Amino acid sequence: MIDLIPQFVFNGLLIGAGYALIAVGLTMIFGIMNIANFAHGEFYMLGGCIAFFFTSKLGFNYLLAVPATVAVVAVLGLLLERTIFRRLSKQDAMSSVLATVALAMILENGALILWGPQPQPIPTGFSPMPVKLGSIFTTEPRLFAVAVTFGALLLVHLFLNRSLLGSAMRATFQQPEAAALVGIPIHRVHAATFGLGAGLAALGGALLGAIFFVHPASGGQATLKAFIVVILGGLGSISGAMVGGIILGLAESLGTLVSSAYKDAIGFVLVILILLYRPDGLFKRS
Amino acid sequence: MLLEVDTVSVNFGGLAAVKQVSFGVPQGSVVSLIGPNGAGKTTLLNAISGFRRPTSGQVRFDNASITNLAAHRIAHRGLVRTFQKTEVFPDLSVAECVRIGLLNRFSPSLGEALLGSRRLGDFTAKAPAIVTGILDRVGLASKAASAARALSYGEQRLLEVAAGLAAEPRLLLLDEPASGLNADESARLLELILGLQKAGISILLVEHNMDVVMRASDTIVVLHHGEKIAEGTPREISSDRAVVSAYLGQDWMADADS
Amino acid sequence: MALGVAIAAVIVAAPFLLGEGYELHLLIISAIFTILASGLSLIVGFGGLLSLGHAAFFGIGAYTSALLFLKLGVPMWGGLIAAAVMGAFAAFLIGALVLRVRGNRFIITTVAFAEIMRLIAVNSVDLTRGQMGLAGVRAPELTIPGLGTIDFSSKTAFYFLAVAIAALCVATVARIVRSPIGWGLAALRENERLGESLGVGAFRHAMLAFVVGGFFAGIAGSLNAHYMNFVSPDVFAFSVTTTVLVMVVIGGKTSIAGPVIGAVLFTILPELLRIADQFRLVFLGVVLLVTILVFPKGLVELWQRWAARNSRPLPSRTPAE
Repeated sequence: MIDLIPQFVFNGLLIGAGYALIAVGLTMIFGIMNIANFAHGEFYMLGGCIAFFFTSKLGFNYLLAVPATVAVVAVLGLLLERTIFRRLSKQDAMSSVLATVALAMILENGALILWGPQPQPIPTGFSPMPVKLGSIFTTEPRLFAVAVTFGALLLVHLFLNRSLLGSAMRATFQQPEAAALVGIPIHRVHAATFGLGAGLAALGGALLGAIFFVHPASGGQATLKAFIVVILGGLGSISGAMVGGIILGLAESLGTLVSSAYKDAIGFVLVILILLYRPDGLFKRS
Repeated sequence: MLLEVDTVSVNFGGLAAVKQVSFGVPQGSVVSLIGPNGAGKTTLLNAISGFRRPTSGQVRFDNASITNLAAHRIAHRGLVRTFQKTEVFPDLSVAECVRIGLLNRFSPSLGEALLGSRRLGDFTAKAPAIVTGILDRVGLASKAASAARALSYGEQRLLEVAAGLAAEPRLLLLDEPASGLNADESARLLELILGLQKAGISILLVEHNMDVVMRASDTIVVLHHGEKIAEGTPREISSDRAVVSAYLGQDWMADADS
Repeated sequence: MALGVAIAAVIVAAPFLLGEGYELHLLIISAIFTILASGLSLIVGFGGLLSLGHAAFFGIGAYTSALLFLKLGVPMWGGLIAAAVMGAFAAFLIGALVLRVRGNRFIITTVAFAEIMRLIAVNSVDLTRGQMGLAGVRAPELTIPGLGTIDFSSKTAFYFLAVAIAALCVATVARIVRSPIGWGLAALRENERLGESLGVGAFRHAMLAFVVGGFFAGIAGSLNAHYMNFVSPDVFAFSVTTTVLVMVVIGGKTSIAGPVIGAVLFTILPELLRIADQFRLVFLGVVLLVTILVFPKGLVELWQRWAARNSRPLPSRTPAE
């Protein structure tokens, strides 16, 4: 049993990094636009489905399909912000959240109509042969996914801390009114936030979809997991979301060693515990 | 002494917004809290009314401690406040806004609401007349059916005070009620404050409008950088050097005697 | 008034005009959704609290009633009461946990709670038979001395029962909303801070709305279980919550009639259009989005705007209940 642990840790890190990717986007949308985005998991799902479409139907190379998919979904995010959420920002906060619920219904069922309910694997062109790293068995797609996810998380971190737009986003995150007063273009920041958030989720979907299957009904679960991570990390912390995602991934993976039936419940149990004992999350707001 | 503020301090992280301030509001008097912007006046009001927990010190109302009570419980005891940035219930009518204040006098339980009771029946029957009376008093009777959000800024301020009156306060905390009012409206406000005092309501007033402050107050407390630097009658304060240099400006002192 | 009498007449005559077929079935489902929507409107509409886990209380009510019947032989009458109490109790627990700080933490917790309940239902195979569900949950009988026995497994009888209970629920919500408690709820949703300064305890009012909503959802769950004769973990599905939400928001979330209209409309309309599930849900989503963007107060607002234009000008006043 003990010698299986490194394997489960590796798998946990893989899933966890995926969770982190999705949750970071959700936290940004939540912190900067004050919207609890219940359609966020659908962007993840679209990432998988569109990547599948590009590779299977259009014959793109997987390495090209991934960035193409991210671009498409990011643009979709920009459009949605421009047409829907900008208008709703004048109404109360509930309207925006309700709109995301409506959006989730449309995206999930629209995808079901377009692609059918069958889970499909994304053809990656990678070798399916197992690769052995020490005592860990993995595959090329998994290594690729781990590398790209961690790379993306690093890029996001650098973007937020080093770039002009990133700094504007961070400022809006912490002090929305002050940011507006100082002349930060809030509309542009919101648009970038939603686009970036959607794009990151889609990246997760395109990467993880090559390892697990993609199917149009996977969005709901992804949204749920993303929210769990956001609560774990503290509702307002981006680095908390990153670490929280990894923790959830590890907890679920190591939890399957104990019982695989309730794997999905682990996250919820953690949420209840957090809400009872550490309502601000495991990490204070950064 | 109706309200006693006893060495209250409020810290935000590293910043000490209110430093060991003590003063009192005697029953039936009007006390004003003045000081330059950033002096900590609103923070102190928040600490007194239950919207912020004091870092240290005690607040007593009617000889009972209210220091860590929730805001609505403090309101139940008779201490009602208004806000610096005018607050209303935007989608409700003016009359409905004022009516909310009546809940501080009586709020039925679920059982009472479902099954009815004599108390409840009496209350709902008398409510409209009380609301009309209060609207008359503040001068908003003609706007009773208008939506709160449709009122002018000055009218919304009066509405907020009206709702506060409906809550049957023994002590009313007014946070800059005259800000944004023109001379006419300020005069009406002054009249209102003096009228309330005559009716037995004690008032703690935070204000920048010195005209209103000087004419309405029995006592003035001066705050600067979170500390109390002076306390006295309007005459005493206007000739207090420390206050003048910190806040009022030399020219004002010359006008004070006229 | 005349309209009310006409509506009542139609409601009473319906089963005799329609017979015991599919149409009557839809009306029964509408009645059950009316109970759900009315209760949810108290939370989401009048209280201004976005609860996205209403299915949790519905499901808890359904399973409570079904299990009491199957394991202990308790007829629906007892099951109804137990379901209502359990729904209210669950709402009380969740409310105590997250209603002190309302806002996004509350919303997410309600979603998580419904999902946890679903997972429990799926995995507690010994108790709930998991995904296979519990069958054989029979409708009750009522013996009235002198008149005979009414068998509620007849659609007509169940219809009248469901409509009666729905009417009672709607009337209760109306009574609460029109009482001073309703004024307090208005303060909570319009400006919580101002309300607190005037003595309106936000937590108390939020809890009240939430628990009453849970109570009614439990009742709806019990009715559903005994009418469909079946309960499965699908009662906890997020789509149940979103469907009820759509009914409330589109009907008009701060009105009494709105949720009723929404419930009837969105039970019957998709069936009339005879379209597949996915298209129906896309359609619902689009309608919801359009409603939020264009007429956030729902159909009732549209109706009021139309009525205002067609009658004498009234003093400027926004209606509130």
